[in-house]
Amino acid sequence: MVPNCSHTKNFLLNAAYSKNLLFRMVAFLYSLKCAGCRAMYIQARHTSNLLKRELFRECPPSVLRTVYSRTRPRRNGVISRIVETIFLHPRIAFGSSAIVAAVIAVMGYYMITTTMDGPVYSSSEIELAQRQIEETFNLLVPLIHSAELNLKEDIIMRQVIPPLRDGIATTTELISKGIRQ
Amino acid sequence: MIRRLFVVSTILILSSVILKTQPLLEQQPGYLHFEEFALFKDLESSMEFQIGESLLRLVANAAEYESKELASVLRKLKLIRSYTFDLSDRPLDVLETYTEQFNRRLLDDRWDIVYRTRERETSASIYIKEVNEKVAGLALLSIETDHTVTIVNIVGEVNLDELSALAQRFGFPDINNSR
Repeated sequence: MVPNCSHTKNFLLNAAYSKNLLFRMVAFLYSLKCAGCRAMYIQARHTSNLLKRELFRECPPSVLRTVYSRTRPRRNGVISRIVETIFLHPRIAFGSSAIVAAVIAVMGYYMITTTMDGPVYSSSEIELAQRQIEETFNLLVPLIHSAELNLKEDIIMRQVIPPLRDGIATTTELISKGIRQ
Repeated sequence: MIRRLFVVSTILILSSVILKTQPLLEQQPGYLHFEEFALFKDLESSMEFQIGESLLRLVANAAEYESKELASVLRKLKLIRSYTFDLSDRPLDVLETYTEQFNRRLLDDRWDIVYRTRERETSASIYIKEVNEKVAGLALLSIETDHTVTIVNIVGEVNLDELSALAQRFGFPDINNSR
């Protein structure tokens, strides 16, 4: 054993029974310093694992529930409390899982039927729709095209060209005045 | 395992709620409720059709080989509906009143007029409904010389530039030259 043996022993035992993986890794590396420490640490880990397994196997569920309810991390949220209450009691958990399974089944059925049971069209219906769309566009598209042309013409002829023409005239006049002076 | 099931079911329920809360076609901003207009309440259409999104997709797929531009236009649409009314028994001034009422109603409903032509016995108006700087719907009112009134409503993203380009692509006649 390494010097300061009682401290080392406590440290290794604490680590062996700890849930903290990092703590256990540090302890394991530390135990590699001597064969005695390593043997003790491995033995303690083995006992810890055995205890955990046996505890959960042997203990009645009511005891486990009590232990869990006493040691669980406290949360303040209403939803988390409801979820914890559901999962603490086997009957409620079973009931809620049955409800969840039913909801998934219904939702799955709903989603499949809504996507699969869409309207089925015959080729004559599609052809008719094509003709109707064509008729609509024959009426609409030339109007829109002409509206766009009118708009462009209106903007260019009335709003762009006159101010541009005035600007050029003013500039020319100023330049000619400057040359005369 | 149960927790995972719980999470999956919650996601499924939420997604179904989102799907359910998507607006119906009639609630789309580009849907024109012209049936509610007083002037069309007692009228019976001589011809009408409605082409929904699924049929539009099929037609778009069929059009893909001939014209990608047309397919692209059709894929963005949700509905095309057209109604034709035979109003040959109504005098011209009544039709003009109808047109004015239609125009006023659409402008009140925040539709914008983009085209309007008026000749002796024919007229045509195109209105668009814009949402977030995108055209969400288009409406056309056309009155022909035989007093046939046609209303077309296109619901969905209508790109006017793409539609205008179709005119050049397919050589539709320029309305100003043809009249």
